[in-house]
Amino acid sequence: MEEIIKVTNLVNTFGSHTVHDGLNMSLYKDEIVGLVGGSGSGKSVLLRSILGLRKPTSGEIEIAGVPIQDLDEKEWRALQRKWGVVYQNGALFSGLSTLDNIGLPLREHTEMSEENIRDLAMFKLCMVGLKPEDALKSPSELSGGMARRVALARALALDPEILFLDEPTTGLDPISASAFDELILSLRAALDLSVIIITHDLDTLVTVCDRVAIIVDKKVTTGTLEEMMQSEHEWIKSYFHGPRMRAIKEKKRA
Amino acid sequence: MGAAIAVSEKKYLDVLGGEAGSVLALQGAWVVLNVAEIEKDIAQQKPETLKARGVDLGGITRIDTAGALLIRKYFPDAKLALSDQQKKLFEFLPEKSPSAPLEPKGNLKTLLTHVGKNVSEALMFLFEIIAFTGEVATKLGGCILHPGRFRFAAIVRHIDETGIRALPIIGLLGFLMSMVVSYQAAIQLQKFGASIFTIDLTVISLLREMGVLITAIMVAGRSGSAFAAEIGVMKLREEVDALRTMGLDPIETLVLPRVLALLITLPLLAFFANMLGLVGGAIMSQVLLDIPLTQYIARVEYAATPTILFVGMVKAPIFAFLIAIVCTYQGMHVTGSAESVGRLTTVAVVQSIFIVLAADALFSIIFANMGI
Repeated sequence: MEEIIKVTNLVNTFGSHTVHDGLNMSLYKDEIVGLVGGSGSGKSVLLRSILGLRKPTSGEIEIAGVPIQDLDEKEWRALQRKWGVVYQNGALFSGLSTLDNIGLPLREHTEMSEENIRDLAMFKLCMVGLKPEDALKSPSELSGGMARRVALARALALDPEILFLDEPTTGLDPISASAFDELILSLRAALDLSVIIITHDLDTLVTVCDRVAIIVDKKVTTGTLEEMMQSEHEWIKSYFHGPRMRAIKEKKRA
Repeated sequence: MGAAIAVSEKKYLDVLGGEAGSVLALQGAWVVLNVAEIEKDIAQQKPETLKARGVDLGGITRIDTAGALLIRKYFPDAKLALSDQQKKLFEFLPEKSPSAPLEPKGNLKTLLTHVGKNVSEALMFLFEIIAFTGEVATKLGGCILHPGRFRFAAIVRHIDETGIRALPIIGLLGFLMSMVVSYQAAIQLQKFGASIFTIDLTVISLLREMGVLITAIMVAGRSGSAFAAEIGVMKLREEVDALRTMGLDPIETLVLPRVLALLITLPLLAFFANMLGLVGGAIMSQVLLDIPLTQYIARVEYAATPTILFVGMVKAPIFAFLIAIVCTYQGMHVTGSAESVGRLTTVAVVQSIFIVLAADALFSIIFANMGI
């Protein structure tokens, strides 16, 4: 299988505090990886390193076979068109309407006509399950779940190959959360996406993710959910055999 | 990386057969980054060619939702010969993509509605600000009856922020302004041989009007905006609601300390600006008019009667109260997004400066009628 993202020997330190110490991780084409770890274990730092928002202390990151350290500005722009990022609370631009938020990447990265930008943005809006009449609302008028969907539509505006989701279901009610999970699965099927999801939501982990990557002891351990459940590691054990996980397993069995 | 995205094919559309009823062959990468060029290719074709019955997608190397949407849009009736992967993408597209709702266009009716709305909002603002003032006053009354409820730590912090930290800029402003005024006055009065009155003019205009006015405007821009933004952000992050649910009154905890702090600092700042203004005047008279310092002091003593200083200083606490009330009121009315904080902060500063100037005009009329 083709490796889309490959992180090797990543080290991230903040002063004397080491967050990542020789971390290795990879994302294959068309797969969904769930990235989990305790609070403060460096999930967001890993994401920021991959996105180039933070320069890692040492280590290499390759995206689509190209090491991102030595890209020039033009190559960065080309790379940035290949991914979409959904931030924790949507990070929608509050000064723009929903439709303009989705249309922004199209307007900035392509030279297509205004009419087609509107059509395409409108299509993406409906694709993520919003109604046409939501198009002119401002982000502050949207509910949490809707804002997350608009953020997803904006991330998908340029038809990226890789999608990063930072806690997409946190703070959503269970119905919206599971609807969001299904949306991600159907989008992956239609658009050939490779996805990294940072999540604390065990339901998402069970229903959506092909593989699980866990940050423990400043490194990443990956495997399928079943493999992870067999793990002897203390933290992983308590993560997957806690009361919340038991409830989900029972629900699945029923 | 760049090479992988830039596609070598120049043409995305080819007409096979040449006659009407021909087959359109679509080729190349119909992806979002090429849409602009595809649009150009399509625009070059005659409309009747585009109505061709057959559309062949065989030549398409890559396609994404943008490309699929274009095909749906420009060839709605065409029978498509699709590969499995393309089928999956097209099934995902809605049969007919909804058109974007248009932003409402303006006409006479919307204009009138807009005007009416603004007028009623202005009236509402007037009512609400009076109600807000009343609320602050009752809370102040409550605090005076129970002095333990005053938040001295908060008041001291705001005195530091709005007063002590503002000293350098306010001082500089008073100093420079009186220099400018006396310079202009000296040039004009020299023509009449009345140079000595430069000092009278500078001192009176400084102490009566300019000192306190310039201080108030500066404070509105500097501290008033901070009041509105601080309270606005707290409102946005539900900190104000948190205070309320804990049984604390936001007017008492947030608004009152700021109002009281400004009531203390603005008069002091105005006095400070006056004093530095006198220093500036002294320097200018020394340089421009060759008036020695002792004569300058004597002239100031003659011109600056206690009434003049009093007329200036009495306005300071009023201005302070107006600025603090307007700015904290706007802060408390932030709703929704971060944009609202920016907008209402601007509104707060503009309104408070306007109200200060209006109040100043009112004072002038009152003092004129009193014959002061």
